[in-house]
Amino acid sequence: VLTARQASLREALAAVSPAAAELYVGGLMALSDPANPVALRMAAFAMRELVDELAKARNVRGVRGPNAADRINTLKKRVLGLAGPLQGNKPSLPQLKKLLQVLEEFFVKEEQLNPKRDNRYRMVLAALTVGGADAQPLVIEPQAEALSELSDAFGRITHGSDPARLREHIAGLETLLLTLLTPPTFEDFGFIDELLAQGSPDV
Amino acid sequence: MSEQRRQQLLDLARKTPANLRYFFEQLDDPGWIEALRREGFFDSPQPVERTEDDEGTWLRFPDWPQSRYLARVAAADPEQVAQTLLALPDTDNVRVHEDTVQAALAMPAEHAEPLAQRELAWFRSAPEPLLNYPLTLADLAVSLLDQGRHQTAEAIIDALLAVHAADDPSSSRRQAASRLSDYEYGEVLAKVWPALLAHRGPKSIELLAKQLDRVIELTMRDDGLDMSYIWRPAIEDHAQNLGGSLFDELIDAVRDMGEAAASQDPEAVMAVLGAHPGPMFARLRLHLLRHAGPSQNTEVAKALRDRDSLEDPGLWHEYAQLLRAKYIALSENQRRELLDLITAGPEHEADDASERGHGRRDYRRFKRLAMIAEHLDGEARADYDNLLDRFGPPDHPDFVAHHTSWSGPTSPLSGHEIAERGLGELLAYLREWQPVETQGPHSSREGLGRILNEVVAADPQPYASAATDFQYLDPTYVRALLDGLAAAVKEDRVFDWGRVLELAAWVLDQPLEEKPERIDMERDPGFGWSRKAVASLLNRGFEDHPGQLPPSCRDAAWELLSALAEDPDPRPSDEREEGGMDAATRSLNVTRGEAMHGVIRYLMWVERQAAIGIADLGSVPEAKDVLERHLDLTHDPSLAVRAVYGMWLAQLVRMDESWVAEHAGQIFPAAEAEHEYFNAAWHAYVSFTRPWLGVLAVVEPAYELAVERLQDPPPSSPFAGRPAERLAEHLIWYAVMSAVPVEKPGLWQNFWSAADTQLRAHCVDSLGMQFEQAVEVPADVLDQAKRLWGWIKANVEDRQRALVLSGFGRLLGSGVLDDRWLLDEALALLGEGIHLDEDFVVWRGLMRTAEGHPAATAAVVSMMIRTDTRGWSIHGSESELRTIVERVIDSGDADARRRAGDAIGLLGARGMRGFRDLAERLREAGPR
Repeated sequence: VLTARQASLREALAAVSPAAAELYVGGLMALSDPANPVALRMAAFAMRELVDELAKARNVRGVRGPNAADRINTLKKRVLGLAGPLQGNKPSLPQLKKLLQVLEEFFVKEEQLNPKRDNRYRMVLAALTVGGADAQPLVIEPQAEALSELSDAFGRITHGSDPARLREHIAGLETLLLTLLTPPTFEDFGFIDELLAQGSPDV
Repeated sequence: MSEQRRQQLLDLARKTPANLRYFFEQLDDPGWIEALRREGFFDSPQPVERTEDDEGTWLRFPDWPQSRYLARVAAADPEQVAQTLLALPDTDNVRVHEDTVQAALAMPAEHAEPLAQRELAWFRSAPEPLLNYPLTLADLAVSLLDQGRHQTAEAIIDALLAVHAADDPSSSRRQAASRLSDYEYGEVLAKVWPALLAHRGPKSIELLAKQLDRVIELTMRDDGLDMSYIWRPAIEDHAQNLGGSLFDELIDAVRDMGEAAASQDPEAVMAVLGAHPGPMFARLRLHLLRHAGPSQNTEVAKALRDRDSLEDPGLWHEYAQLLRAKYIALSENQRRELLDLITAGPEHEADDASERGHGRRDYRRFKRLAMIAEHLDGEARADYDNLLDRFGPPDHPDFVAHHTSWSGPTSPLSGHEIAERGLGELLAYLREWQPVETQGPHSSREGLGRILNEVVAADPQPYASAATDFQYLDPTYVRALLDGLAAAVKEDRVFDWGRVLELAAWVLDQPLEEKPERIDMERDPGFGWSRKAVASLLNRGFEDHPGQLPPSCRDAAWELLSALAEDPDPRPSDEREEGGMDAATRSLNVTRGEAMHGVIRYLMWVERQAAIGIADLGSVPEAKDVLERHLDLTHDPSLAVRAVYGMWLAQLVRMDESWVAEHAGQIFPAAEAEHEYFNAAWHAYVSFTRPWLGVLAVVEPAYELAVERLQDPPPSSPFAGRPAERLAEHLIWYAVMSAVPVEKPGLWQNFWSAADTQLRAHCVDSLGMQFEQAVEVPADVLDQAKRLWGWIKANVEDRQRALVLSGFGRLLGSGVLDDRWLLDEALALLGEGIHLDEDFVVWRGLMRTAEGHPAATAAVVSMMIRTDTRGWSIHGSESELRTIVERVIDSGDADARRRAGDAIGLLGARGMRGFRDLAERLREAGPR
């Protein structure tokens, strides 16, 4: 039986990715099954995976491009093309500059093709945020950091981990996802008004 | 505030973009700056958003709530705001820069100037567009001038007004451009010159003059000739000036600043302008002298007696104006000296003794003397009077060339004057009046005919009774009468047709003119256009109007119509040579086409006369014969005529289905050699006729051929519409009516396979639109619509899914299908990330579903907002959304209310603050 908060999140997840909603509910079900000997690991795995499902649903997979072998081959041709005329001599400064430029372009492109986890998290967070086009790093960075920490924490869950600890992590993920998917905008405005009414900060 | 509370607030502020914006919008206390700086709130200005699509790169400049806040509190703590802004990382977001300038405007100069210098450095290489930034920067320059920071202010003005050669390959003329639009450039000039003059004196006019000089240099012809007097005929505001260009804005500003400065220190102004060579600055000096007081009379006398200025066409206008204004201020000797110069003419032409040379000198002298004619006496007066007799009244002697334009044609008589004249008097006038053709505005027969047409349309009977009296008048007036009578019928006015048909018969007896090489816009070339007018009048007469042709006129009307159906217009060569018009449109603009339309209308007219209608076309053999004869290409090869059959196909099927079935192969020929005849009839049919099952049964092979030819290039005529889209509308309607099989191979599946993404999407849209207009739809049709939708969903490729299926929004809006099914389908599509279009139709539909299905409705609202990547969906539909959410809340359904809470939160996150009271209502009702 889901709590109202969990039901709300399941529905919001289903609106973005039915697969993510299934993983979320499946994870909770595994955790609540006393007969399941791998309940903790299954639940933790499902929570990590659901973020990847959200990324897929929002098309956060990096840009399309040639496969790895072709990419390496292209790089090889470009680098050898630079070194070719050397014929055993030391490279000139312009050649070294050109080499650095080729390598930099390669790594930038690689990041676009296969964004690293943190970058992928930033992209999926921006994609899930309502009005995400205007989301500043100020908003996205703490969330990306929290998501990375949660992902690491889920990854560390083993058979002997503390179930209460896992529940805390799941609650943290729920809070983060609910903030993104069903922001309680006007409640927050009310809190902001209340706090601002208390005057200037004592810096 | 405690540190814990402060941290709580800042965490809340950076929780979502909406919170961040709200927090800064509420903040009006500069006491927060330090805390915010420490927490990194000013570390990353909002970047420019770049998106790319097939049409190019699109830029969006989001505002940055932080810089808006700083601008707002700048006056309260200028030092801290200035330091914070100076410490911002570089950004190309012009809105952040605009806020910076706004902040500087609110500060004293000591804090504003460093910001201004930083902004100046950015502006010099800032990417475009600059939005409102240049005007705000100009305000800052004025503010700095006011506060004595002249150097920085002038550097900003210099940068704002800088010009460069325009890179405009579409223009043959060399042009100058600025980083500002011409309008903005003018606005900046208007802002800065009064402040410059007030704080830096008349010499600061140089700041503007040097830019004007640069513009002239950039726009000079390759041979170095300054043609500026052509682009700007008068320095003062004048109708001859085209105006509005950067060049004009600069001249206006230098002129206005010069006039204002000359009242303080005319010598200084003249010295600045005099330092710039070239006719434009000479003209400006002459202009300022015209407005100068008596202290400048010596300069005026010198300028007027300068022979080069007197004869230079580049200075002509300003010299003429000065001459007119200041001749009276010259002494007797100076006047004599000047008249001698005018009489002598240009030095370099003195040796030209040819007649043409004399004529040119005389005319130039005449124009100069005309400016001072009222002051002339003695020999000069006699000379002028002689020239006046020779050349007539001077035509704008103050311009070398004067341009006039007018719109026409115009009439010598008003409608009132025509109506007031007795018929005899009017006919005499029409016979005798001759237009006087001049280069300028003048009345023409065409203009008179148009007014006559309007008068006849308003009160046709007197003119109909005397129609035969119009014989032998100019054909322009005959056509005007016939067109006026046709308009009268359309406007439900009644008249006697007898004399009118007599006149029409006389028109048809007139010899046909050769087609003129060039159309005279002022009169008809012959009676050809009147024949077309007869055909149009008969068409109106066959329509169901109070003033329609009476049954007694059947023989006379048919005799005319059958003759017009054999009219040579259009000739085959016309259709080949005159491109740009599709066959259906042409059929309405040629005599034979209009006559063939008349044949169908004649059939319908006859049908109305008979109480029981007509059994078939054989009941009206005269019309049937004509219709069959013109399907024979050896008799009538016109595409326009073929289009007539397509346009009226549904009526022909209604009147005689067998006849159409028998001739369908001729109307829509399948042979490749007759492809264009098929297109002429088919395009006219699908574009002018709504889908009708009766027609499909008769011409299904034509539909099949049209589907086969779906990949044909679309018609090039702008009037032809989009036949492929019309075909899509027909077929989806037949599919939903089960008239064509959907789940088996056949017409529908062939069409779907051949249709591209856009056409499939149009198909889905049109189904919704047709349902929107439906009053009552039978249950079996609704079931078929659901099956059809299922088939479409299963037969659309992944890559086109979003575009094709988004049109489901119209079905949801139409409300013809049951709401539960519509909402389930909508949720399934939205779950795939497919946003439903058109948004406003969806919101309208959800207003309906909110009462019966509040929970699902609220879920659709939330998902519509989430899938709206463009962020436009809800804007403009606030009131509909409010109704939906209120209905969901009022439903009392707990699940629905929870979902309404989600939707309200999302609306708030999209910037819809007006829903806050509904969030309060929900909060008061209990926890979400």
